[in-house]
Order: sequence, then C-alpha cells, then structure tokens
Amino acid sequence: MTELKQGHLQGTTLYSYTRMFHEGKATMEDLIREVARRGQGPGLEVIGFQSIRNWPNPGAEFIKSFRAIMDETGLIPTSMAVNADIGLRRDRNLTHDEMIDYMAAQINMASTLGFPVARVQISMTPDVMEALLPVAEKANVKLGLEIHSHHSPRHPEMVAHRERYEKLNSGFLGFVPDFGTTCIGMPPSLIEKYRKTGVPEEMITELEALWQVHHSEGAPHDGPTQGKRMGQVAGIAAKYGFGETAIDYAINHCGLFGHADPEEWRDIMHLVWHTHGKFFGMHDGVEPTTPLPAIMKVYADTGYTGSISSEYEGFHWNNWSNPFDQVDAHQKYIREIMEGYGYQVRTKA
Amino acid sequence: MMRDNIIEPGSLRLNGNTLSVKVHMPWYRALPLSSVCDLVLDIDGHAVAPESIHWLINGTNYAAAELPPLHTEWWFVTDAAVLSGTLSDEAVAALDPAADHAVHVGLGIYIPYIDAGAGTLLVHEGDRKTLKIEKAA
Repeated sequence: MTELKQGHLQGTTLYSYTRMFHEGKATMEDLIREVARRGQGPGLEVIGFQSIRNWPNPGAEFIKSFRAIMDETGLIPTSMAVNADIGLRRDRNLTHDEMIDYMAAQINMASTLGFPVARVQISMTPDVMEALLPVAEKANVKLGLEIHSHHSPRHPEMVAHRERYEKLNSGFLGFVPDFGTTCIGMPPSLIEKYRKTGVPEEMITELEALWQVHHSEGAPHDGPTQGKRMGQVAGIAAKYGFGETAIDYAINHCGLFGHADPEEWRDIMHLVWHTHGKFFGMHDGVEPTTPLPAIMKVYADTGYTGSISSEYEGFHWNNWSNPFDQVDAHQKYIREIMEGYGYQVRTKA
Repeated sequence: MMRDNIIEPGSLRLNGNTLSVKVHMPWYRALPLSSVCDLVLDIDGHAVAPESIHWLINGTNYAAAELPPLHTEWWFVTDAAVLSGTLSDEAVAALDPAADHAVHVGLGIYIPYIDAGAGTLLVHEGDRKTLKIEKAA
C-alpha cells in the first residue's frame, strides 16, 4: 500500500454549536473543551461577534483566559471570523475609511488571540482589502474573503478580488471557500422540518422544483438574478400563508444552498488559506447536500494543506440533532474520502 | 433563524396594563441595537400600542424609536431582551389570568454585513407560543 501524503488540518468552528451556546446549555469554554475531548480539532475557528462579549475589545482578562484554554486543550487557532458591518448605521453605510478602522480593530485582536487568518466578508471591496494589507502584514494575519452562496468563484465580484490579489501577490490576501456555494440539492433535514411545522406538501414540492430550476440555470452572477430568485421563493411562501417569514424561506433557499460547480474552486486554490467545510446534516455517513467526493477531489488534486473547519449549519432549523455528533460524522466522512485520494488528514497538532 | 427560541417560556408578565416577554435573538452573532426594528407584541390577538413599545437590554429600557441611532450599543447573542408595551383596558379586562394565552412576537433585524442590493438586508422573524401569565416577581 502506498504511503498517504499529508493532507489538510482537521478542525471545527464554534458556529457549529451555535444552538447550544444560544440556548445557554454551554459556555464558550464548555464548547472548546468538548471539541478537544471529542478530537474534533486540532483546528479551532471562532466568530468574534458570536463568542466574545465586547468584541473586538474583550479586555485583558478574556485574552489571558482564551490563551490559557488553548494551551490547556492543545487546540490550534485557525481562523477568526470577523464581520464587515458596512450597514451598521441606519442613516448611511460606513465610509471606506470607517470600514478600514472597523476591520483593523478586529484583525488586530485576531492576532492578539493567536489566529493566523481572519475570515472577512463580501461587503469588502478590493480597494478596502488592498488598504488593509499593511494592517494584515503588521499583525501577521492573512485575510481570507469568504466565498459563500450566492456568490461563487466565477461571480464577477469574486473575479475582481482574485485579480487584485494576484496582482498584489502579497501572500496576505486570499479566500475562504464555503462548501455551501457548491450544493446539489436542498437538505433533507430542512424538508423534514418543513413537514414537522405544517408546511403543505404542495409548497415543499414547489420549493424543491424551483431550486432545481435555479440549479439548472447555475449560480447567479449578478444582483438582479439573485433578487428575482429570492422573490420567486418569497412568492411561494406568501401564496401558502407564510408571508410573515417569507424572506426567511428566500434566504435559506437562495442564500444557503448555492448552485456553483465544485470545479470552480480550482480557480482560487492557490489563494486559499482556510476553508469552511459547510454542511447541513449527515445521513447514514454521507452529506447529501454538499457533494464532498467532488469538492475534496479538487482539494486533493491541488495538494491543499491548510485548515478546514467542519461547519454545521443545519442548526438553523434542526433542533433535534446533536451538533457534536454531526461534526464527528462529517469529519469521519472527509477523512475516508481523502484517504481514497491518497491523503492522511492531519488530526494532531 | 432559530425562531423557535425567540419567545422565552415562562417569561410573560402583566403589570397593570404593561405586557412584557423575554425575547431571544434569531441570529447567530451580536447585533447593534440599530439593527432592531418593527417590534410587535400581541396576546390573544390584542396588540400592544405601537408607540408604547419598549426594548430593555443592557440595563436600559429603550423606546422603540430610540433604537435606530444606537449603532455602538450591542445586543449580545446570549442576552434576552425584554419586549414590553401597553394593552388597552378592554384587552386587559378580557385576559383570564389563569388561562393559556396565544402570544406573538415579531421583530425585524438588519443584518449589517449583507447588502441586499437596495440597502442592508432586513429579516423579519416571529414566534408564536402558548403561555400563561406569570405572577409578578
């Protein structure tokens, strides 16, 4: 048997356990210790605005205690997910300069807490990213723009980012792929939730058929197409009497389960520092919504050795599954796939 | 998102004509108070007066109209806010203190990092639960 090559670093994000944290069933420290106990690291990703009160100014006591728990558990900080809140104010968007200050504070705190990557979001323009480059270099934190549904690697906005990063060739500006960008269906657990909550069978049929229509058309490459699709979903929800929460259906349908071909990831792999292994729910050892054999083939072919966070998002609607069990199953599935491609996923620090 | 958790069970109170209930965030990360809007509270179909609606968070009981400029004050993920408002005398008279009541909370949250094309994305969420009125503490 041929020896396996060293693959990516296994990890998880505290986002996977949002429901437990949100419901007060576990503190951040409880979640981190359970991640370590279950062997779901060594990589650990945190969302600043989720887990840390007064982010990005949590105070000296927090900084000390966070470093202590990382030492205690042996986990490795991979990515600090920061938020590009351009729409913070109701009267206007933040200006270019305000955005730079807002992001710099978060990048600097990511550095202080030991994170080598800050995940940033699409509300950043290539100009803001370029302006943040000196901040990133000084903090020694790579910036990874998340490519999340409904965007995709070949969306013109993402292409503009890629071209800028390639031109600057800094080693600090790149991407964080999110596997929800490249789905092949709607998650079975979401359909189950619809049935549990009395969504009529006819409405479910219409929603699934519309998803397939959008899938045959491919990932949207402009705002109006995305807007039109969201309107179609909201229209179905409203028709069946779910008008109050129609936008929620539209966000799920058009914002979470993207239509891009996994092969598109190849375009950007040379600029990927970290990855969101987004998934919506494991069924019999397989993730039916994000086609991991096809996605991980790209990662294997390109020899990716960065980190991947298993990012469970079924909690949005699924209040019956244990998220730690979900992450266990997802990581096992990925390890098996990567072994098949000749790679040993790194599960130790 | 997680709208099943918005209304906290066991938190419905009636103090004089003021109805209140604890509200949990239907989102995964802290939001500025400027993100909170379109607050609605009703019981058995009787809505509290819109101009009376208040939002108690971080120790301050804000009138709904005070929230939009507060972009440096934060609603943390694990903190419940108290949503309150005034019922009419007729609505209060109709409430049987021992009975179950149909409670509805609605709220809008602007998602500050998502541009929906025509401005920041506004998500409306709501929860309906059957609750008893708790005795005042």
